Amino acid sequence: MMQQHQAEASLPKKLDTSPSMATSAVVAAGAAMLASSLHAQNTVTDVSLLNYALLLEQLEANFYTQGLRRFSSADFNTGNFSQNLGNAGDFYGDSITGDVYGNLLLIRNHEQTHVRALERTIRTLGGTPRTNCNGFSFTYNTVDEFLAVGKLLEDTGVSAYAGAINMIRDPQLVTTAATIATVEARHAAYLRLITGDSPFPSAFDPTKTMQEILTAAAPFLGSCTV
Amino acid sequence: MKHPNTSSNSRRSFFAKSAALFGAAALADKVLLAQTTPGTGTSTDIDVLNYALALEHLEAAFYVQGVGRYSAADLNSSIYAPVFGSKITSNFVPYLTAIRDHEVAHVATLQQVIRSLGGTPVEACTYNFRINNASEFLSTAMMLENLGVQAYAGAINMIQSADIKRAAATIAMVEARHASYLNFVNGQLPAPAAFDMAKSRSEVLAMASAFITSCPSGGGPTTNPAGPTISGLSTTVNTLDREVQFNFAGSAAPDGSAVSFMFQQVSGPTTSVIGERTSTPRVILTGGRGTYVFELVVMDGRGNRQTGRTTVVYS
Repeated sequence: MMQQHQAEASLPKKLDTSPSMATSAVVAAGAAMLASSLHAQNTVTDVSLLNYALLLEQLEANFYTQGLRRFSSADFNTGNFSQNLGNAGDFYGDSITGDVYGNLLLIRNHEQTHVRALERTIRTLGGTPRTNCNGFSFTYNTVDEFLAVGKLLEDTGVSAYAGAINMIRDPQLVTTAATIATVEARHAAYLRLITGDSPFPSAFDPTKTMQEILTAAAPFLGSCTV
Repeated sequence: MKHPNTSSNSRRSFFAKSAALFGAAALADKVLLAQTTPGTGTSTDIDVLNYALALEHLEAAFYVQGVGRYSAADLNSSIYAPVFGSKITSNFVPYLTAIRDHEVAHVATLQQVIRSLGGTPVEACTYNFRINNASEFLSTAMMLENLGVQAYAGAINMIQSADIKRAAATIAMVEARHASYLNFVNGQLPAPAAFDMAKSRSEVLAMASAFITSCPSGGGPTTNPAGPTISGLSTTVNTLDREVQFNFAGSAAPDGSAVSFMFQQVSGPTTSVIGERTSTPRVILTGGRGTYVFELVVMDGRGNRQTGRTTVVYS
C-alpha cells in the first residue's frame, strides 16, 4: 500500500506539470500552436474537434497496447494494487485480479474502437483524420505505475470531452461524443477503484480546455506530433 | 419561460461556481410531462433540465432511503461481497454515501438552475423501489445509474445553451462513474461496451415509471407491470449427489426484456454456489448431508423481481 501511494504521488506530475523548464516551454508553445490551429480563424469545426478527440484516443489506445504487450496477466496478480482487492470469485473467472487483465484488454479494445469510429466519422464529414502514430511514450516500470498513468489518462480524457462537447455543432455528433465520453468515465472510475482511489471524487467532473489538455498530454507524445 | 440564451453571464458565473448542472439520473413521470410541454418542435432547456431533475429526484430518493437502511455488515453479506477483499468491502458505505451526496447535490443544482432560467423545478414523487435486502439495493442502484447514463446521452443534444450542455456533461460523467462502480460490485463489467447507449426520453420514462407510486400533481404512472416468471425452480429437491445443477433458463419477463438472475443460499450447512448470477447455477453441498435452502431472484429490465425458494435435501 505504501509503495502504491508513492507511485500515485510521483506519477501525476507527468500529467499535471511538465518534466523540465525547457521541455515545458516547448510543450506550452506546441500546445498553444495546436490549440490555435484547431481554432483557426476562430472557427472550431466539428472535424477539428474530432481530430482533437482522435489524438487523445490514439494516445490511450497506444498506452494500453504497449502496456498489455509488456505485462502479462500474472504480472497484475503481483501488483501492490491487488492487495485486499479480493482473490476468489467464480463470477469473475479465476480471480478479481486476474480479471483486471481482462478488463484492461477490454478497455484497450474500446479505445481502438473509438479511434476507428472517429477516423470514419472524420472521413464522412469530408475531413482528413490525423495520422495514426505508435510512438507515444509512457514511463512506468511496474503494473502499479502503469495503472497510475492509465488513471491519469482516463481522467484527463473525461475532462477533455466534458470541456469540448459543447463546441460540437452536429447534434448527432454530440450524442456520439457523449456515448464515448461516458465510457471514458467508466474506465476512469474502474482504474481508480482498483487502485484504491474513490471512483467518483466529486459530484461534478471537472472540464478542461483544449490547451490545458494538450499541455497535459505533451509529456506522452514521444515521437508523435500533435 | 425565459429563453436560456438570455442572462448568459450570470449563468456562466453560476456554473463556474457550481461546476455543473443537469444530469443523468434515472427517471421521470407524468408530472414532468405535463409541466414541461415542449414549445414548437424542440424542447426548451428548461424542459430538458426538468427531465434531468425528475431523474435526479428518483436517484436521490433511492439512496437517501437505502444508504441509511443497509449497514456495512448488511452490505458485506450481499451476494457478491464474499469475493471482494477489504479494499472493496470496507468502502461500500463511504462510496454509496458519496453517491447519495452527489445525487442530492445534482438535485439542488438543477433546481437552482431551473429557477435562474425562470422555470419551475418539478417536485419529487413518491417512490417504491421494492428493495428487501442489500443485494437488491446494489442491483437496483446499478440499473438506475446505467439508465441515468443512457438518459443523459440521449438528452444532451437537446440542450441549446452551450453552458448548460457543458454542465450537463460534468454530471453525466459522474453518473457514468457511479454506473461503473455499481457494475463492478454487482459482478458485471464496469464498462461493458465501447459506446454507452443513448435512450430517448420515452424509453427512459417507461423504465423509471416502474418505481413511481404517485406524484404531487397526481399524474404519475400507476401501472407496475407484473414481474418476470420463474421457470425450473422446484419447491423441494432430493439428492443423493453432492452437486446439484439448476436450470432457470425458461424464466421470462412479460415484456420480453432480458432477465437477470441471483441465486444464493438462505440457510443450511456450508455450500459453494457456482454461477449464481447465471440461469444455470450449480451448487456444491460441501457441508455434507443435510437440508439447505436457496433463494432465486429473477429481475427484468424494469427492475421488477420475482423471488422463489427451493429446499435441497441431501441424503
